[in-house]
Amino acid sequence: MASDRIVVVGHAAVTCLGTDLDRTWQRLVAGESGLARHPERLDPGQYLQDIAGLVEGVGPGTDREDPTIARLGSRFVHFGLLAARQAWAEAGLDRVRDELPSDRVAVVVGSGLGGMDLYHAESRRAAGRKTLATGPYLVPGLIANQAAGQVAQQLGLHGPSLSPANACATGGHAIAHAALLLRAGEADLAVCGASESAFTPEIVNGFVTMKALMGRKPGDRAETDPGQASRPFSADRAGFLMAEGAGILILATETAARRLGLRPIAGLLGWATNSDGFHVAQPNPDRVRRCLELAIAHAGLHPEQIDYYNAHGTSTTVNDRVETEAVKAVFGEKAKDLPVSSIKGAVGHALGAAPAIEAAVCVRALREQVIPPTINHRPDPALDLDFVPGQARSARLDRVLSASFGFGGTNNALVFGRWTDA
Amino acid sequence: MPDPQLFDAVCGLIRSVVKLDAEVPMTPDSTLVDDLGVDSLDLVSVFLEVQDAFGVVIDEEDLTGIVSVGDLVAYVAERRASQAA
Repeated sequence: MASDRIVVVGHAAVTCLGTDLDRTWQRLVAGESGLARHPERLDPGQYLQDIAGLVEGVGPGTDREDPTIARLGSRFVHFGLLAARQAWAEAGLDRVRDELPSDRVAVVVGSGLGGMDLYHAESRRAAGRKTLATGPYLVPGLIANQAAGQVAQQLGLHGPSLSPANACATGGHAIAHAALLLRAGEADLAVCGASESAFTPEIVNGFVTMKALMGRKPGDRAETDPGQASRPFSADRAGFLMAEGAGILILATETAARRLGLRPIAGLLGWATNSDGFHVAQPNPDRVRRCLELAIAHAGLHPEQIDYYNAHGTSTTVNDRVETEAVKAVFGEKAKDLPVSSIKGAVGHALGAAPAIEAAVCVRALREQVIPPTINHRPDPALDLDFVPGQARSARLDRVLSASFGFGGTNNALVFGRWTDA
Repeated sequence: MPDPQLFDAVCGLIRSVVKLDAEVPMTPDSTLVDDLGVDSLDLVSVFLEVQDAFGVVIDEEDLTGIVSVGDLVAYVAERRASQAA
């Protein structure tokens, strides 16, 4: 049904702040950082940066490893399934299992880089062998659609399955395309989002080399407090800090939600995706601006009706400047009054999973009527927006906009609304 | 009767790869596929782990002859002996 509204009935996140959204949110609004130095996992002899946002206590090899996927050693698969199980439980979908045809539930769970950690580990093992054999679970664990595959397999879902790989905009694309499937009548529900864990020396060092990821900086404030390494929109921002995790939403058509007795948490009012057509890694200011405009228009709104902008805000020199300019261009005079924050100061940059984590946080922000802060912020005279520095803020939030931009010139923006039955 | 130490080591490895409960009995006659439920991918994992752990190479053409745990232990023992010779 084309006119059917799309609602969020489950939201979950696995981050370096916590292995569920409740804990992540609690620490986020407390202004804490999940970034820390991890020399045991990220050996400084191999990695150009050992400050990272690692998820601890869950995943392969831990006491809380999911036994159903124990053979798959790639962390992104474990995080994706964990978040999906959490969102599924929150939505209460097991209770309505008999009324929910499994082929009417889509799974759209992407990953920017897939199981690079497993690839790295298996490559090292294979190098020491007398034969050319590699582990039989390398390919199944590496492929970027395996998180989606395991969500479908373990939750018993048989509807359409997609796995976007749109770099750091992946999770947003997944949510937008899940919504498209619902709008097209291809499914009634969708488990959507993204998952990521790509800590290998090649990936981390590659990001450092291209000056996207902050390398070691003697004398930097992160040297004494690693929690201050990621500082979006700050004068001394010096690059993003890599993280891992997953974010999952469960979307439903309003009709399906009502039929099944599911409780909407928020509405997905609009979305947009577009391409820069410009550069391998640099954002295109005009296309970024256009993406924000398209999402607002798609929601049937005007810019002045947006109450909060959840920024991509990576803490890189270029992104934060371009994004600030885009916000000013879209919101005009209202821009200076618009609360803008990036949670990447607290959770780092989980690459493809970041937009999905941020979407889950936006849904929670609407429910709690609280804006999470941009931590570690030191004002940059050139970036003169209200970045909600340091402390969470209570506010009337009816509609929020969340945007993400990825290498390869891919942009995404989502508009969520506070849920009312009206 | 296979070397008990080698048998225990191979059994431990199979249990670890296939995530078998400790209660599942394993004897030299236990067949990998039918008795222990090892599927095709796990079977490759078991052979690979055995190769890595014991420093032997399992030839592709020999795989079909390894049906039971005892077969695998005997194969490893024979390979180690021939490599040592």
